[in-house]
Amino acid sequence: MKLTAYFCLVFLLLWQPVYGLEYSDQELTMIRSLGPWPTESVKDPSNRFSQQEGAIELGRQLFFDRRLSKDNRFSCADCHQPNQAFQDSLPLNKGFDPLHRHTSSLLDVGHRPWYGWGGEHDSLWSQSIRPMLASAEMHTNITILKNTLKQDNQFQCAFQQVTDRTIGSFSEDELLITLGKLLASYQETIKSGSSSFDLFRSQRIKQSSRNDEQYLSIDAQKGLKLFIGEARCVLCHSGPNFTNGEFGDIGVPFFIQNGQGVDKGRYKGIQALRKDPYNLLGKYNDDPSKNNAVRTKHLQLLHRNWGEFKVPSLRNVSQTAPYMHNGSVRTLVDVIDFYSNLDEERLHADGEKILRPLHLNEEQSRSMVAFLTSLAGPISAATENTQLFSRCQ
Amino acid sequence: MKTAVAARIGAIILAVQSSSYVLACSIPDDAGVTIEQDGLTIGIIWQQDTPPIVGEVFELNIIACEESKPFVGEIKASAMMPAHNHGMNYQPNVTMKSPGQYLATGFVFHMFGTWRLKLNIFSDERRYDIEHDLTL
Repeated sequence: MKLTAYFCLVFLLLWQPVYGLEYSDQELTMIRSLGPWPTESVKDPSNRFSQQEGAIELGRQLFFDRRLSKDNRFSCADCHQPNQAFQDSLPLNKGFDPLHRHTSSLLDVGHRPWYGWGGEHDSLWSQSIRPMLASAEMHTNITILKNTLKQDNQFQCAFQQVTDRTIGSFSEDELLITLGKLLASYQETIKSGSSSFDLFRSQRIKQSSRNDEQYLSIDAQKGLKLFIGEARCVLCHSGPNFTNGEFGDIGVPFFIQNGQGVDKGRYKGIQALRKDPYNLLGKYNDDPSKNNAVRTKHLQLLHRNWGEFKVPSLRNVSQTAPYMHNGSVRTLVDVIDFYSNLDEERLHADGEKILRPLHLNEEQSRSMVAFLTSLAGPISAATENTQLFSRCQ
Repeated sequence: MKTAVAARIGAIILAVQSSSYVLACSIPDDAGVTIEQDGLTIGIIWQQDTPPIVGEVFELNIIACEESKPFVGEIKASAMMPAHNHGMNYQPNVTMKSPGQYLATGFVFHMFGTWRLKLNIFSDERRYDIEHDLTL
C-alpha cells in the first residue's frame, strides 16, 4: 500500500501535460504561410481542356501510351512512375540517349509559374510537348504518330468526342499542342494530400497547442523551427507548395557528366522560353486576355541566372530521392549534409548572399529530416474512366 | 480648311493639356504609402488594396504630384532585397494613364524579407530617385 502511494506520488510529480514547443508570433506567421493544403483546384485558362473529365481520361490514356515515342519505346509513365511519386528514383535516366537532368516528380504539378529545371516552359501543356520532341527522350515523329492514332478507331472516336474534331482535321502542329493539353489535363490531377505537418498547422492556427505532438513529433517540430528560422530554408521553399516557384544557385556543380559541357540552368531556360513558339505570349494560349502571361512578358535575363535551377517543391520530398537538378544527392540526410557544408568560396563567387553553411549538428540534422518527412501526404491521380467513351467501344 | 481644322484640334489638345496641368493634385486617402521628397509627393496604391504577397504577381498605381500639380514625365520602377543583394527576376513596366496617374505592372517579390522599391522619376527639368522599404 505504502509502495503504491509512493509510485503515485512520483508519477504525479513527474507527469506534466505536454503542450509541445512554444512558437513566437513570427514563427506562427511563417507556419500559417505554409498552407492551407491541399489547395483548391483551379482551371488553367491557357488550356481549354483543363478540368474536363473527357480530356482528363484521354490524357491519362496518352500518359501511359508508348505509341507517343519513336518505335513505341517509352511512355510518360515509364519515367514518371505512379508508384514512385511520379518520378523514376534514378539520379539520371536514359531515353534514346543518356539524360543530364534528373526526372522531376509530377506531384502537384498544376499551376506553377515555370516548368523544367531551367524554367524552359511557362505552362504544363507546353512542358508536356518538350519530352515528345527531345531526341534523347521520346523522339516523337508527329507525322507517324498522327497516322497511328488515325488508324486506332477507338482512340479516334474518343479524341473526336473530346475535341469535336477528327484527328485528320488537325495540322501536325495543332495535334502536338492538343496532345500536350490533354496530357496536362491528366497531370493536373496528380496531387499530394494533407500531411502530418498540415494537420499540425491547422491545429496551431486554431491556437490549440495541446497534444499537437500527435500530429508532428517534437523532433519534427524542432526541424520546423530550424526550417523557418536559423536555417532560412523558408526563404526559397515558401508557401503552401514549399517553393517560391523561382530559381537559385545553391552551389550544385553545373558541369555535365563525362565532359559534355555545362548546364546553364535558368540562363538558357529563359533563352529557350523566349524562342518557344508554344509560350503563353503566343497564339496557342487559350486565354485571349493573356493575363496569365504577365510573368513571361516581364521576365528579364540576368547574368546571375547562370547556373540557377528551379527551387523544387518539398511536398512528399521523402519519396522523391535522389535530389538536385542532376540527381547528384542520394538521400535527404545527404541533402541536409550538403547545406551544412556549403562551399562558401563557390557561393561568394556566384551564389546568393542568402546562403551560408548551416553547420548543423547530428541532432539538428535528424530533426530536419523528421520535419521534411512529415510533409508526405497521400498521393492521388485521376483513375481509369473508360465508360466516358463507352460509345467508342 | 484643313489647316483651320488642324489648328482647332491643336487648340483643343493644348487646352485639355493645360487644364490638366492646373488641376490640383492630391494623394488619395487609400494610398498604402505616401512619400515626400523635394517638392514631389508620391502615393502608392497597392492592387486590390493589399500589400504584395510573396511569389504573387502584383501591380501598383502611382500618383505623382509636383508642387501640388500632377507630375508629367517618365517613371522607371525596380525593386531589390538589400540584405541579399539581389533584385527581382522581372522588369516592371510603368505607363502614364493620365497626368499624375501611373500604372506599374510586372512585379513579383519572390522572397520573404525587406524589399526596396525604387522609382526613378524624371521629366525634362527634374529627376527624383525615390526609395521605399517594405518588409514581407
